[in-house]
Amino acid sequence: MKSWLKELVRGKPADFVEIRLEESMLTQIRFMGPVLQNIAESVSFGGNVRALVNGGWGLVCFNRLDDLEHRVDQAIAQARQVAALATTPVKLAPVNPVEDRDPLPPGVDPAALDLGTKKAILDGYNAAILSFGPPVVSSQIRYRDIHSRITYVNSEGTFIERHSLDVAANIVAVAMKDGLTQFGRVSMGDKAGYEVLRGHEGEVLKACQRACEMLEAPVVRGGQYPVVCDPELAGVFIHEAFGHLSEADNVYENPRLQEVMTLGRRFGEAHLSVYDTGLEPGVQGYLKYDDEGVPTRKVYLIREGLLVGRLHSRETAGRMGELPTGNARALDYRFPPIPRMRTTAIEAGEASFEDMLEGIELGVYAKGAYGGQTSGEMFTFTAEEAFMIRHGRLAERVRDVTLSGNVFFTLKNIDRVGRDWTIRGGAGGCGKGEQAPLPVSEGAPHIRIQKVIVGGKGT
Amino acid sequence: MTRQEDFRPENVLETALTRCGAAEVYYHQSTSTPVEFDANRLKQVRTAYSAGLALRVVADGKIGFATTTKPGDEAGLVERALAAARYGQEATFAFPCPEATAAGPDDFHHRQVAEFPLERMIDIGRDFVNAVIAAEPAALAAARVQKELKQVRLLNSAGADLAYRRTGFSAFFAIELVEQENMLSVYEGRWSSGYPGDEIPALQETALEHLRQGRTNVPMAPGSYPVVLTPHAVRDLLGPLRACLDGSLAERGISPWTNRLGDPLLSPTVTLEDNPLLPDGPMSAPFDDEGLPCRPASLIRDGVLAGFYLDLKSAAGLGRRPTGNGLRSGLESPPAPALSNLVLSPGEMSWRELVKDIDRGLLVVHLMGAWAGNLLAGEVSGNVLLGYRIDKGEIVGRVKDCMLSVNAFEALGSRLRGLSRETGWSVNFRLPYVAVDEVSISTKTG
Repeated sequence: MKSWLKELVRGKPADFVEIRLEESMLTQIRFMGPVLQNIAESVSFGGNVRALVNGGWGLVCFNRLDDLEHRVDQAIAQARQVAALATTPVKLAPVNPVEDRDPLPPGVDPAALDLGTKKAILDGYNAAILSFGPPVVSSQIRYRDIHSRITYVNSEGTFIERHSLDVAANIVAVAMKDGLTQFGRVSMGDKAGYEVLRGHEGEVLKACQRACEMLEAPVVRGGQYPVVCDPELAGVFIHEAFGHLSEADNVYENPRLQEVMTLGRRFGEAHLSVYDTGLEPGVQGYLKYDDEGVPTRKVYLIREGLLVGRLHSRETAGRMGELPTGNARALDYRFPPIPRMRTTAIEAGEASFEDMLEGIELGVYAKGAYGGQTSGEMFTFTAEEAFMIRHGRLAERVRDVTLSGNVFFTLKNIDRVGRDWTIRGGAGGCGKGEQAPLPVSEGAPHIRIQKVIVGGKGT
Repeated sequence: MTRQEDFRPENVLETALTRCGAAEVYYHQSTSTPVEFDANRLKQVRTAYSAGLALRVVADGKIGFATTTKPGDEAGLVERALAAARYGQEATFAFPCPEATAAGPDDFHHRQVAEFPLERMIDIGRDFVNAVIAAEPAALAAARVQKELKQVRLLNSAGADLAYRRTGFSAFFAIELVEQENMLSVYEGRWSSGYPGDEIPALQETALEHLRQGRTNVPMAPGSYPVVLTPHAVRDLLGPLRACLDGSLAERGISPWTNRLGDPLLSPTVTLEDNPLLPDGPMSAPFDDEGLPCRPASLIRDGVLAGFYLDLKSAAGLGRRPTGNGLRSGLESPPAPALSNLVLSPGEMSWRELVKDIDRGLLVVHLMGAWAGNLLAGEVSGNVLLGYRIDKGEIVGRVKDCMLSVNAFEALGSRLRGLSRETGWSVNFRLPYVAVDEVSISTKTG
């Protein structure tokens, strides 16, 4: 297989050719209340050929291998078609060819749990929610694990075989009263095996209690507030606020944005440092090599408040004259690799939780994350739960807290960085264009941000 | 070209039925060709072939599901489906017998799309790039023009052996302009089963109009204002309705509308229908992904809850007739209630009149992040990615750093000002502009 693949990409009339082959087994289990909505195992098999000719890319995706040689020719022909109109040369950042394997960590066995055992663990959580009693009326549980084996070869001599196992679940308690529905959620995900699935009994009960309490909580009053974010929300915040803008495909062909995103420019105070890494073992976003066969490294995006780096594919790094970072990722063989995050984190600071609340006359303490989105300089992130802060103390619970910021002032408005620090994956993943959900994780301490715009009634 | 001979759905059905009482095989094959422009240049041409099988079995009264895209994996597929059935849910429905469909197998296979040359797809993108550069040399244009050929075949143990073909054509245009710390991004797109050639110039013109209009920023004090939402933003406003009308949520009693059939829940001007038979609808099909004939499903009629959108399972749970909305969101997903082409009936005024009627308010073109709220509580809250302040009926400039929050049940109920007579497509929704009173707007205040 190896010599056959290496032969297929050698000496082709193209500047660069790569082949990715992939076989994966996906297990899905889904409950809605007592009903097992789905239990399934899926085999996915396929591959792609990507070719670069005179600044144009061609990509062909397929499910069968027997005419792979023809696929290579087809990808090159498509790249030529693009090249006919190309005005800008593409120069890939140089990378040393590597031959390597990246197996699962010792002791991680994708066959360790059978379908029945996985279901039995989830049955336990489901029973805990369904027996909690009113106003908890139902549950929603989504579980997925995917074990992939990927073979990568390119025309520069790189050949990599890697395995990955991604396990994720979302367990939700649903409470209802007088036509109002509220949720309490436990989300988990990692790449270190099935252990992440066990031991959440206490969190599930807390999620039930939270859903009940949210029924009584008023909708937050909209406005501009100082906001204290817990580590989970702070992680999603930095992913949305700065991670996406750091993906160099936004910048590398946009001269005006390059002026704004010049390395060395100040984006935050000296207590703010942000990095993205593929080297955090066991968590979602761990990658030894990215999907262009580039070894991943830890890259600082902001160091002591200053912009110091960005997330590159070989094309964006080559164009900008910067070093590749190993951030080119593809959701699977159906898509091309593009700059994406891995594990994105805010480094811990020195503030205690009391320091966070200090001096806030009226503010919001927002915890957990339902999601977020970004476009250009503006971004949103939605908290799972929230409390008002009044006169420096935590006060009543509020609900439906969606926050919004702008990269050019919100990061500078971070005035406290906590000394606690938590890393989290989850079932949601990251979406960019058509490629979602890509496993990523975020690390952060508590942070405090001044002047956050909070949507809500009664403005 | 991936050929159907890679997978033999008949053999899978036959093998499965030697081991269990009932089975359904779904075969899906597609070839899509996206042409992608970015930063004013053609960057990539792709061809993606995909084919695969999904098998549902009922063994000892329980359901199992499995899928594969690996040629030669038919035996493994049957084993996995049977293994899943050991733990599966009891079947509460039967696979349907074949029925006459209102549309034929090739009704949504448009020859013009199937034969559309790659060169012309490239031309569409290049024309847009040139128009943007002519309008503003510092702006960057992106375009994605794609065609798709899809084939579906569905066989079940009740005797169904159905097939159809559908074409898809989409054109998506975006512009980005950076002026120091001010970024403007605008986008427009159209998804269709036919070739929407007539509409492409208008989409491009709308994007260019936003490029002109969106360059002046104006402040707006926080408060409660009347707003006009474009079809893209109306799609976000309908998020809660989509959730509340979902048969699987109604079946579980989680939808607040579960026992409200026949009740007036919204303004009498609101009529909502799912129509899988629109000739150019991006999701049109003769039968759904469980083999039931597709037909229009009335969801809200003159503000009254008329029905939910249902698959076989939720229909059985609610004791209602399935509506042909059992759709698969991908090969790996089993059928679940989903919308095909959602149509909100238009009103009588033009959207410009809706704007003219507003003394001080907001025209909201695009919302961001509004999907993440508690939809079953009706809450829609998002950043106004592109919106304009309206003063005395005129658009005066763009409002940035602004959050919009509204309860959809109120917005489409007592606070509804009106619906436009013009409609536009937002992916698979065909929607008018909607004007709403008393919408909460939070803005940056120093």
